Amino acid sequence: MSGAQNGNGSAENSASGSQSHRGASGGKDGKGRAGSGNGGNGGAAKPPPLGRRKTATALSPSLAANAHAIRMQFHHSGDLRLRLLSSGALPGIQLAALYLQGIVDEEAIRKNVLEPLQAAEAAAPGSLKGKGRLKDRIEQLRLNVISTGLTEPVRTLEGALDALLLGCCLLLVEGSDEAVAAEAAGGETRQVGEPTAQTVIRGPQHAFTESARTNIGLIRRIIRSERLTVESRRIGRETCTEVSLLYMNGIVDAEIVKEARRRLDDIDIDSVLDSGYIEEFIQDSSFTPFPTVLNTERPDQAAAGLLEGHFAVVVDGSPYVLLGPVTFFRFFQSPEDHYQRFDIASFLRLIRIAAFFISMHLPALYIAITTFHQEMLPSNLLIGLSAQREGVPFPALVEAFLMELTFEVLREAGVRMPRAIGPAISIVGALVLGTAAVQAGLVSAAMVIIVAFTAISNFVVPQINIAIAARLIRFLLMVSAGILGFVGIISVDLFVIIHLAGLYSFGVPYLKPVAPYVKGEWKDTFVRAPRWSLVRRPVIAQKGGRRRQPGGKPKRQNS
Amino acid sequence: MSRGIIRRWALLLAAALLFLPLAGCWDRKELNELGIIAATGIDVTEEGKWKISYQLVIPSAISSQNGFTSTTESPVNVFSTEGESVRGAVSRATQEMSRSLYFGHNQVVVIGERAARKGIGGLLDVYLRNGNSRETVMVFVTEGEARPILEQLLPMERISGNALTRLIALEKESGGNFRPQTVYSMLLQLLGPLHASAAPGIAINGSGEGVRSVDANKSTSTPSKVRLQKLALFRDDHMIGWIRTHESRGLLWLRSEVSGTTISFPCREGGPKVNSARITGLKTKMKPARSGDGWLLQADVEADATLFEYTCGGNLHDPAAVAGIERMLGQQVRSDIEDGLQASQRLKADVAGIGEAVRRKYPHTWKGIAAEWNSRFYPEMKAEIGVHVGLIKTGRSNRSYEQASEDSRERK
Repeated sequence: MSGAQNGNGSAENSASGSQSHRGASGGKDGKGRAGSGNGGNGGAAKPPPLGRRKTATALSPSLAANAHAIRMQFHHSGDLRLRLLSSGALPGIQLAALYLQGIVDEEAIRKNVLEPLQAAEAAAPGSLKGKGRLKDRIEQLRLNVISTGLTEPVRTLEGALDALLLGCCLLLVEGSDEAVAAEAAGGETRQVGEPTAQTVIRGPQHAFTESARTNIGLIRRIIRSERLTVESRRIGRETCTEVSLLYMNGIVDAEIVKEARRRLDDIDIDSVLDSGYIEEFIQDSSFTPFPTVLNTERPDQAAAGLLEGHFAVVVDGSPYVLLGPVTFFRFFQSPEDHYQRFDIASFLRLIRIAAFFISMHLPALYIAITTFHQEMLPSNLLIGLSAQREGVPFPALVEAFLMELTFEVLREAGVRMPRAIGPAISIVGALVLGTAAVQAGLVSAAMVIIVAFTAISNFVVPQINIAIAARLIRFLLMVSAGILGFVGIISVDLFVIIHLAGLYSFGVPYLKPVAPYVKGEWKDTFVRAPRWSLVRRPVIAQKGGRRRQPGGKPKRQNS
Repeated sequence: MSRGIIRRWALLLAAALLFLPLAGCWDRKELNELGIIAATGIDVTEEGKWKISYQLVIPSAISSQNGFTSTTESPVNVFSTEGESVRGAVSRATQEMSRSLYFGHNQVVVIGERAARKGIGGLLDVYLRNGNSRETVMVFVTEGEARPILEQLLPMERISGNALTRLIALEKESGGNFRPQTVYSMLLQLLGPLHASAAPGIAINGSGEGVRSVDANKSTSTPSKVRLQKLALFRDDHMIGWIRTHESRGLLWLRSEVSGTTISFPCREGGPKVNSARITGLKTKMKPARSGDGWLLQADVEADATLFEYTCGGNLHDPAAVAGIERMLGQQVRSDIEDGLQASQRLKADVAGIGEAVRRKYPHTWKGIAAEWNSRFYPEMKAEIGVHVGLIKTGRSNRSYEQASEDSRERK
C-alpha cells in the first residue's frame, strides 16, 4: 500500500527534485550501443532521468508483496502480465516474470528469458550450484542465463515500474529484494516507408517512422562515422518520451549544442506526442509566423543537416525529425537540389523563392493595382479586367477575401476529409473556385486565376511550415493593399523584413547569408554551385571544422 | 503581463487605427467605377468656350467574358462637355456620366485647328499640374473639329484612340514622315530657347461620311479613313500654320530623327521618279556660322540606302552607276530638307532646332539674338546642305528588268 501512496503523491510533485538512481530505465538508453549483448554494461550507462518520481521505495523480499505492490500501482491493469515460473538454477525458489503486453516482444521474452531460465539447470549446473548468497546467484542468472540485449538489477519499486513502462521484462525472485529487468522492448511498429509529404524525384526514398530507434538507425546508416553523437533523454511526465539530440562532433558548433541541450533540459511538460511539442519549446520565438526550426521526414535531409553543422532532435513517436538552427533560406532548399544537376537545381531554387513571394503578394498586388494604380496596367489588360468586373457586386478586396477564404476552407477540408469522400472535394472545389463562380457573377475570372496561381505557388516551397508564413501574411497584405494600395504593401513588407532581421535561431541570425552578409555562402543559398566547389560547410558549423573536402574541379572536366 | 506592456500594445494599436482615416481609401476606385478614356479632343466653340470631347471605352463591348467580342455594340462612346476652362469643361462631365472619368490611360489628345490657333497654354498647364493625366499622351492637330476624329472607327481596331498611337509609332518606324509628339516633348520645345514646336496633323480622308457605326465594318471598304497628313507648327503656345508632309520629312532629316523612310528618285535629273530606295541610318551634322549680318547653316547629311526598285538602264556592277544613284538620292534628300527649311522659315518657327545649335556654338551671341531668332534671324538664314547617301545594298539583281530584257534581245 505504501507504494501506491508514493505513486499518487509523486504525480503531484515537481520533477525538479533529485533524481534517484533507477537502474532499469537504462534499458532503453543502452540499446544504441548494446550490440555486444554483454550484460555487464548495466551500470556504465547513465540512465536518462525520468523526472517524475521523487521517492524511492525499496522492494520487499517477498515476491507476493512486490507483485501486489506493482499491481496496485497499475491499478490491476489488464495489460500487465505476470507469469509464475521456477528455474532449475534456483531450485525451490519461485520466480515471476512481469511485463506490459503490447510494448514488449513476447516472443523475445519467451526465447531469451523464460526458456533459458527453465533450462538453466541442464545448461550450466555447475555455475549456479553452491551455497552462494541468493543475491549472487541472481547476479549469475542475470549475467549468464538471461540473454536479452541488456539486463539490469532493480532495487526499488519505482525502478520496477519504470522498467516495466519502458518495455522491460521484470523478473521477481522470492526472497530477494532485488529484481532483474531484461530489455525486451517490442510491439508493432510501422515499417520504413516512402516519404509522403516531402517527396523528391531523384534521391533516397526512405522516410522516418514513429520509432526513434529506427529513425536514429536510419541516420546512422547514412553517416557511418563515430563523430555522430546521440544524446538521449526522456521528456514528458506522463508519456516519458525518449528525445534524442543528434549532432556531428567536431562539425557542429559546441555552443549551439550546449544551447540546444539547455533548452531540451528545461522542458517540463506532461506529454510529448510529436516533435511539434518539442519544437514549440526549443524555438527562439513563438510569436512569429516564420519557423525557426526545420522538420523533415527524410533521413537524408537530416543527415545532410547534421553534416552541415545542424543538430537534429529525434522524438520517439514522431516521424518528423527537427533540425536546427535554420535560417530563412534553408527552407527553400530541397534535398533534391543536391541530387540533381546544379543548373536545374539552381533554377528550381530561384523558382521556389519567387513562388514564395508570389504566394505572399499576388492577391495584394492585384487588389492594389486594380483599385489604386490602374495606370500601371497595359491599356488592353485594364479594359479586359474592367470588362470582367462589370457586374461583379463586391469591391476587389472583398472579392479576393471571399476567394482566398474559400480556398483555405477547401484546402482544410481536403486534409481532414475521410479518404473515401476525397474525390467529392475536388469536384466541389472546381465548381466553387472555377468558372461556375464566374458565371454566377460572384467573382471575376481574373480573380479566379489570381487565387489559383497563389494557391499553386504556395505548394512550391518544399517546407510546408514556411509556406504557412506566406499564407498568413498574405491576408495582412491584402487588407493593407485594400486600404493603402502599394504604400500598404510596402509598409507590411517593411514590417516583415524588420521582423525577419530580428529573428534568431539558436543564436544564428535568421537571414544569415544575406544579412549579415557571409562571403562564400551564397554558393548554396539562392543557387547551388557545383558540388566540387562547395568546399566549406555553412558558417553555422564549428570554426575550423568547416572544410568538407579538398576542393577543386575534378581533373577530367574541362571548360 | 504588466500594465505597462498592455499600455504599450494599446498605444500601438491606437496608432495603427489612426492610419485608417489617414489612409488613401478615398483614392480607391474599383475598375467598374471607372470610365476609361482612350482619347481626348479639344475644340473651341463659336462662343470661344472650350469643348472637350472624350472617347470613352466600353470594356464589355471590347472584351467579352466568353472569349468572343461582340460586333454589335460600339466599342467606344464619344461625348463632349463645354466650359470656360479646360478642367472646368472636364468637371462638367459628372453631369452626364455615371462613372468618373479616368485619364490614366488616355493616350491621344487631338486638338482642333481653331483651338490650336487660339492657344494651348491652358491645356498644357492641365497636363503639367495634374497627376492623373499623363504627359506622355500624343498630340495630334486636325483641320476642323477634333470630335469627328474621335468618332471615327478604324478598321481592325476596337479602340481608335489606341490605334492612333500605333499609327504614328509605325509611321515613325517605317514611314519616316512624322514622329510622335507627346505633350511632354512639346512642352520641352515650347519652353526651351526656341519656343517653337510641331505636331503631326490628322484628318479624315475619303469620299463619304465618317465611319461612326460598327455596321460599317460589315462592308469590305470603309468610305473614309483617318490619315496622318501635314505638320502643324506652333510658336509659343499657339499654332501658326501647316507645312506639307514631305516638308515635315525634310525637317525630321535635319534633326536626324528618321529611322527609315522610302523615297522615290528619277533616273536622271528632271525625269519621272520611277525608282525607289529606303534611307536608313541618317545622320545630320549641323554647323551654324555667321555670314555677314545673318546666319548660315552648313548641314552635312550622311545616310545609307537600300535599293528597292530600279528601272533605269546600266549595270550596277559598275561603280559609276552606283555613284549616279547615290547622287540622285542625295538630291532628293537635299530638296526635301530645303523645302522643309523654307516652309518653316516662311512660318517663322524654327522647329528643326537650328537655333539650338547656334546657342551651343555661340552662347554669348545667342543671348543677344534669342528674342528675335524666330522672327528675324531664322527666316533670313541661308542654308548649305551637303548630302552624301551611300548605297549599301542593291538587292539581289544588278540589272534592271528593262536592261536585262534588252541584253537578252541583243544576244539573239
